[in-house]
Amino acid sequence: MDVIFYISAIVALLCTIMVVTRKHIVHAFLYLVVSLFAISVIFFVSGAPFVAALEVIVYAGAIMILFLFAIMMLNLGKDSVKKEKVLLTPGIWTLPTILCVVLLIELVYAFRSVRLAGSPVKIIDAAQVSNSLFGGYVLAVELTGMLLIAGIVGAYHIGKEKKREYHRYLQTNDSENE
Amino acid sequence: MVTVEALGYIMPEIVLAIGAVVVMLMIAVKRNAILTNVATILTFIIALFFLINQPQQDVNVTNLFFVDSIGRFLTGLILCSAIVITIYSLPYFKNQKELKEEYYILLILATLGSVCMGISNHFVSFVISLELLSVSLFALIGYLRHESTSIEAALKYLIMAAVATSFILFGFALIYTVTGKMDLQGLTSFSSGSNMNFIMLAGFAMTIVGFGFKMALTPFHLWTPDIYSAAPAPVAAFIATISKGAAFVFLLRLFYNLGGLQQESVWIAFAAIATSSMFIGNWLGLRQENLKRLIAYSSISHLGYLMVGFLAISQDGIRSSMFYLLAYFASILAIFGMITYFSGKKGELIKIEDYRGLFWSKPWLAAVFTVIMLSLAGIPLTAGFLGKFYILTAGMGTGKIFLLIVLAVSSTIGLFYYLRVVAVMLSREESSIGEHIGSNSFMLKLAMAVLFVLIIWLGVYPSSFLQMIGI
Repeated sequence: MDVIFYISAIVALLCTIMVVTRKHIVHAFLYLVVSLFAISVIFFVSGAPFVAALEVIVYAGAIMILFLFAIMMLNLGKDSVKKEKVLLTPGIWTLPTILCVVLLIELVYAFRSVRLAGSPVKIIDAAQVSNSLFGGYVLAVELTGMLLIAGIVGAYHIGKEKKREYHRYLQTNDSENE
Repeated sequence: MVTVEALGYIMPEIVLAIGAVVVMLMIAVKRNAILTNVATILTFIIALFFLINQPQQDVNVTNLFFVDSIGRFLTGLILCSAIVITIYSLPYFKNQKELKEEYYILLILATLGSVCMGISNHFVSFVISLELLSVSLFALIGYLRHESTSIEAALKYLIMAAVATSFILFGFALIYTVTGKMDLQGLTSFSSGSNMNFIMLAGFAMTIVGFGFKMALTPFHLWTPDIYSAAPAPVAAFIATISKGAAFVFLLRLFYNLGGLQQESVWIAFAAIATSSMFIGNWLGLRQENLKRLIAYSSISHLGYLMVGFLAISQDGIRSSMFYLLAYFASILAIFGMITYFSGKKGELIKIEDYRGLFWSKPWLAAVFTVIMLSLAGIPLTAGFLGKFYILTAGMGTGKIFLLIVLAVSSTIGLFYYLRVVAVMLSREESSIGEHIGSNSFMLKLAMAVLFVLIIWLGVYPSSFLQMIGI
């Protein structure tokens, strides 16, 4: 299992470096999703399948899609259509795909491996997680709820706009031409 | 599991949480700045009431929280400071075009975060309350979002806080790797059993860096002046007092429980941070023309003094640090109150030059201002002096002579810039202060008067407060 951990860790690191060095934000997201998959594999082989599933569903699924949605909404106009055409040239998606395939192979190997059953890794399932979340850690869950209120109220205040104003970084060419 | 009996001990926190929701719903029904302000103050007062009526004993509330006398003292201190800051906020935001009501929700939530941090007994509860505090503070710093400086400051704080949190998390993870425990009591039982290894030390180092960011100790202090000068004065007061105090108390709990300070290398790291904070804070303040930046440098050096109490590793050290926190809170709240008092339609008076000749046009206010400055400098008969005195006593008791010499020398350097402000106020020239919000806010005047009395009281007759700390 150590080998799987190291390979996934390298994939995660590589992807995260790619995230911060990409110029185009959608490409960065592509790598971020792969990085989250890699972390999810690490969780899986460390005996936390529930957290691994959550990582994929919540982070790679819900949050990333929301991000992508928000970005697509911000870039309306003819210009962005032109930009989107060159978004998916083969050079862009090759590396993430290869990395994803590596992770997939790892996952299949981990599933087929019989050693997981005999290894010292203790598997923690969903029931145990929810028992501690709503047992001893219930106050932490409540406090997290307050954290979400803070986030929402803050975002509501900062993001509220009466007049539509673009930040200078977000101004595209066609909005300048108008 | 949580028992009803145990919940009684965290009633102040529960009241704050309910208060935040109630205030939010109230805004949904009717937007009114004064009403919201009063509701916020009421929330804090009810929380304070529950705190005072608590039985005085040390109790574990699940694994996550531990309510003891330090925690209670800090909770009380934070709630009182929050009341003062709420009072500042009403007149301060009156002139702003921004919607004012959301501010109070965020203020209550930030207070909740810091109160929970003060009684945290577990890495999880600490990290969540730290995040609660930071997330509320981003929005509070950038509250006047039409000013580019304020958004810039919010972004800076966002990045800094994220870096600090990730350092703290990684440090905690490393400590957990070695010990297998995340609650402080479990860590105590571990530390008595075995010695430190490399991973543990790395964990300590990461944690120290994270806390250094949070408490703005040198060399992690660079964000402080920018954010103090750009944030609204009441928010800056919040950052300077409540958030630092809460982080300090958890640091105290962590290292006193874990016994990391007995390690030579950890102790030296802290001593180096304390020494450089005291010197660099005071040194950078010397030629500062901007009053809010000057307070930022002053607060860096004050946290350095506080670390001397922390490094004494004794009950006296804890007691003196708590008293110092009280004195520091009072002085910093008062000085930000002064800035709030003199801010007008055109904004805050943040240049020291703006206060030229204040003594001849408004002698009473200038006198209060002078006393606050003297308290920050640590002149006898003010709170700041006794705070430093107790810290020195605690340090003397454990023979940390080097730090004490640094404390004495650096506070002498600091005296220069505090007195420079007083000298500017005393100079015989026409005062250029125009209309300011303090002149027609009774509550603000009252808050300033209370803080003024408190500073003098702490400096002259501290025994009643020492009893309150009673650790």
